[in-house]
Amino acid sequence: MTQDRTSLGRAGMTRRQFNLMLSGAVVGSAVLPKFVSPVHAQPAQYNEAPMLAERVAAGELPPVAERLPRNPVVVTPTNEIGTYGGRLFGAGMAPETTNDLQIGQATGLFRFSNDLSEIYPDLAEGYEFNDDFTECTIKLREGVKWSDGVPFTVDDIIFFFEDWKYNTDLYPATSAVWLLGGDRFGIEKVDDYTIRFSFPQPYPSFSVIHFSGAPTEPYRPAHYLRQFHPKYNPNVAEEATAAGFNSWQAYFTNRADGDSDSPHYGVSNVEMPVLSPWKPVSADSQRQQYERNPYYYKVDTEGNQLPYVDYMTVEYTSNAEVMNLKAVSGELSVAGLDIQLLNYPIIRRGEEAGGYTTKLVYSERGSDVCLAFNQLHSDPVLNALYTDVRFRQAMSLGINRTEINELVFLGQGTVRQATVNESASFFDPAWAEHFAQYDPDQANALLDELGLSERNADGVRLRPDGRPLAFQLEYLPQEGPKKEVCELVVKHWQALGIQVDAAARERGYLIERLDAQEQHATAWHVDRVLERPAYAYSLDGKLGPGGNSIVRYAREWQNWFNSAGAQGVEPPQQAKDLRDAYIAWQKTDIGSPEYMEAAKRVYDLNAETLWIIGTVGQAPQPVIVRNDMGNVFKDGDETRYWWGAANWFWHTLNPEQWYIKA
Amino acid sequence: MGRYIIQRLVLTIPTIFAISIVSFVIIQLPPGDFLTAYIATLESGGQVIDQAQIDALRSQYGLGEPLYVQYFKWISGILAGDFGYSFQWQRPVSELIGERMLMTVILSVASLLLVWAISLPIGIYSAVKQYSVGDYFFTFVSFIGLGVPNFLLALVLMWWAYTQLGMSVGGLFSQQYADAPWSSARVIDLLAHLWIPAIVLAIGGIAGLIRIMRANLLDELPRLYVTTARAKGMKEGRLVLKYPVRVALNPFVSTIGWTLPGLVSGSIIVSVVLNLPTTGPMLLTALQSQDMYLAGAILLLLSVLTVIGTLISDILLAWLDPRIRFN
Repeated sequence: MTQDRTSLGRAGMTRRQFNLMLSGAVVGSAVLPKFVSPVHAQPAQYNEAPMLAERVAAGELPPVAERLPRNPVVVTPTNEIGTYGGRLFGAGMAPETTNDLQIGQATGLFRFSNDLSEIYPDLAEGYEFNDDFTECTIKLREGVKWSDGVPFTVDDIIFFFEDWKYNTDLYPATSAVWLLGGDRFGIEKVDDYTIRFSFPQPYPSFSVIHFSGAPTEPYRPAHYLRQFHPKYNPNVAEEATAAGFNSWQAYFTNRADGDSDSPHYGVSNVEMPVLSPWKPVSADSQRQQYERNPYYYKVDTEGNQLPYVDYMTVEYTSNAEVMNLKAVSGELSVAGLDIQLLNYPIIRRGEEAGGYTTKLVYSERGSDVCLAFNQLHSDPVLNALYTDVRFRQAMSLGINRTEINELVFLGQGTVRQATVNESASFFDPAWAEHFAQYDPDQANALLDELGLSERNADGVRLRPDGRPLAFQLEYLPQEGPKKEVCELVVKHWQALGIQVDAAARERGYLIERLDAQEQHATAWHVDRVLERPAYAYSLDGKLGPGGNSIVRYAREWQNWFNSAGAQGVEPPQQAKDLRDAYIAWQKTDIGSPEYMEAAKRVYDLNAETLWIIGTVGQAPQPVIVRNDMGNVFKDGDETRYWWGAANWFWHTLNPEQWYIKA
Repeated sequence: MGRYIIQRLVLTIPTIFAISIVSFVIIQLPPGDFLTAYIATLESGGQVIDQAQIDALRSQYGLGEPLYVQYFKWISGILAGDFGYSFQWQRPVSELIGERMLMTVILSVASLLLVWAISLPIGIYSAVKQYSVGDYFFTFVSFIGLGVPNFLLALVLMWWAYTQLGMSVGGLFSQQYADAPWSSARVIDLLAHLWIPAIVLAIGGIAGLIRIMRANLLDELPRLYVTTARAKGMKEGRLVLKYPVRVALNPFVSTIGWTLPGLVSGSIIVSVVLNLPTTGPMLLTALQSQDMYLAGAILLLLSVLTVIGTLISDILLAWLDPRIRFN
C-alpha cells in the first residue's frame, strides 16, 4: 500500500521534528529513560524568608539550619535567583477537582522531567533493585520534616500501606494499583530511612518508581493520622459520629485529605501536616488559602530556603468562561487547566492589557479524540462487521484528519493514530502512520469487499441482510473538542455511504450503555502515552485489550481475563497476545534490549488490530503566565512541552522556585 | 383569620415532607451517584482508579444502601439539626450554606428593592399618561427587557464593565478585598460590583411588573369611584395613589412569597455566569455531581421559604384588600 505522505508531510511533521530535535529527542532515537542525580555543591549557609526570620527571632520556630534536612534538595533556578515575598493567585473549578496551583504543590519520593523520561531524587535519594527485580530498596532523605516539625520517616510510608491501603476495614478489596498479580507488596523497614519492597514476581515497572506525573505520594503523616485510626485510638467510632460522619472510615478519609493517592484534590483538612512548599491555612466554599511551609526541604543554589513566594490563594469559579475571563484580565498568576484553545485569539489579543504571556504547550495524548467500535455487539451482522479489521481500516482511511486538524486544532495538532508518543525510545513512525492517510477510494474498496457494495436509493450502503448500515457515534462533550471532531468524522463517514450521526450523551447514561455493551461506536481520548506511564500501566489503559473508560469496547474480554476464564467472553487470540505482550513488557527492565523488543511487540499489535482509531493527537494547549512571574519558563526556551493527565505539567516546572518580580 | 393561619401552618408540615421526598428521589434519579462523577474527575486528573477503591468509597459514603434507608437517615438527621456532609466539599452542609447565605440575601433584597422602586412609579406613570410618548417609550423598553435572556445581558454587561471600566470580573469583590475585614472601602467595592448582578436580576422583574401595574391600573382608573372622588375635588395625585394603586397592588403582594426562593434559584444561571458567591451556583454543581446532602438541603430550604412565603403573602393580601375573605 502506498504511503500517502501529503497529509503528514505538512508543517505539522517538520515542525514536530524540529522541536523534538531541539529538545534532544529525535524521532526514533529518543532519550532513554534514566535516573538522574544532579550534582550540586552544598551551599555554605542557609537563608530564609523574612516572615520566617521574624518567627525565629520570636522563638516560635527553630533556626533554618535545624529545619532543613542534612542535605536538602538543591534546586537550580530556571533563570535567576528569586526574591522572597508575594502571593500566587490561581483559580479552580469544583472543589473536588485539582487546579493549576494545587498541581504545583505535589511532592513525591521522586520527581520527573517534563517528558517523564528522567527521574530525579526528591524525598527519596535513590532506589535500587536486586538482580532479578523481586526487591526494590528505597533510601529516603534524612532529616526531612513535616510542616509541624515532626521528622518524615519510613514509618509514614508503612502507615500508608499497612494501616490504610492494605487495611481491609478501609478497603475491603485492595486497589490493583498496590498489587502485583493480585498479591500485595512485601514491606520491610530496614531502618528509619530505608525501606525495602519485595514482590512475588519480577517487577521492574514498580508503580512507586514509575508513577510519573500524578506523582503518587505513598506516605501520610502517621503521627497525625493515628488518632483517627481504630488501631491506635479505640474511641474513633464515637468521635466520627460526633463529628457528623457516617463511619470512622469516612472520618479517616476526610482527615487524610481525600482518598486519591495524592492529596491534591480540594482541601478537606487544613490541619494535616504536609511536605509541600505551601501548607493550607483555610478552605471555604470560595477559596483555598496557603502559606509557606517553614520546614520545606529544598533550597536554591545559594542556600535560600524555598519557596520564594509567601502565600497562595486559589479561588473557585463556577464555570470555565469566568476562569478564562479572569486569566485574560490578568488576575491569575498561571493558568492552564480549563483554558480553552478556542479562546486562543482572545487570549493573544489581551496579552498587553492583561500583562501576561501565552505559551502553547502540547497535549501528550496519543489522540485527542479517538474512536472505538464495540467488539461484542449483540446484532450478529453488525458484530461481524465491527470485528473485521478491514472495516476498521476502512473507517480509519475515511477520516480526513487534516481537515479536522485545521478546523478544530488550528492546524497545530499532529495527525496520527492513537499510539505511543514520539519521544519514546522505541517509537516507530509506522505506528502513527498506519492507515492514518485520507484515502476514501481505498476505504470504499474495502467496504465493497466486506459485502457492503449494494446501496439503497439514498446512497446508503446496505448490510448483507438488506438493511441500511446505520449507527450512532456516541461521545461525552467533555475534556476536549469531542463534539467538533465527532461531527466532522460522521460527515466523512457519511460520504462513504454510511448512515451515521454523532450523539452527545450524559456521562451516567453512556456508562450504563457501555456496561451493557449496547454502544456501536464511542469517542474519547487516549492519554498516558509518554514512555514511562505507558510502560507502568498501559495494560489497563485505553490501548490495553478491551479498552478503558468511554472507549471500553470489550468489557467482557476484561471480565474473562480478570476471572481467569470463569466469566465474560473469551477474547480473540490477538487480544490474548496483546495482553501477554504487555505483561512481558512490564517484566523487562526499562532501557534494556528486551524492553525495546517487548515494547515494539505491544505497539505492533496495537497498530495491527486498530481497535482504537485515532484522529489528531498532541493538540495545542495555551497556558498563561503573568508577566510578574519569574522562573516559570526558561528565557528564550523553545522546547516543546508536554501537557497531560500523566505529567502534571506545572509540577515539572518546579513552582517552589517561582518568584514574583517586584 | 387566626384559625386560617393556624390551619395553613399545620398544613405546611406534610407539604414540606412531601417536597423533601420528591427532591431526594429526583436527585438520585440520574444513573450513577456522586462517586461516578468523582471518579471521572480523578481519572481526568491523572489518577488510576479501580473497582476496589470505588467499592470502598461507596460503602464509606453509604451510597450502596437502598434509597429509602438513605432517605430516612437523611431526614432524621435534619430533624435533629444535622444537615449532613457534602461529598464534594468535604465539609458540613450547614457551614457551606451559612457561608453563602449573607450574600444571597443581600443580592435578593437589593434586586427586590430595585424592582419595586423602579417598576411601581413607571407603571403608575404609564397608566395615568396612557398613550403618551413616555408610555410608548417605557412599553418599548419593557418588552425588550422581557425578551432579552438575562444571562446574555449579564455577559454583555460583564464584558462592558471589564473593557470600558476596567473592573475585575467574576465575583462580588476585587482581589484585594476578597478576604479583608469589613470596612467602608470594602462596602464601596461591593457596591461597585453589585450593580451588575442587581440590574440583570432586576430587569426581567421590572419589565414584568411595569406591564402588570399598568394593566391593573388601567382597569381601575375608569371606575366610578375614581370619578366620584375626582368630582368631590380630591387632588389627582393623592387620589390615584390612595385608591386605584392599592387595588392594583394585589398581584405584587401575592407574589412576594415567591420572591426570595425565586431570586435564589431563578438566578442560578446569572449567578453562574457572573460567578457570584450565592447558593445558586452551589446548588447547580451539587445537582450535577449528585452531592445528595448539599443539594437536598438547599432544595429543602427553598421549599420551606416558598411555603412560608406564600403564607405570608396571603396574609398580607388579606390585610391589604378587605374584599378577600377566607371562607
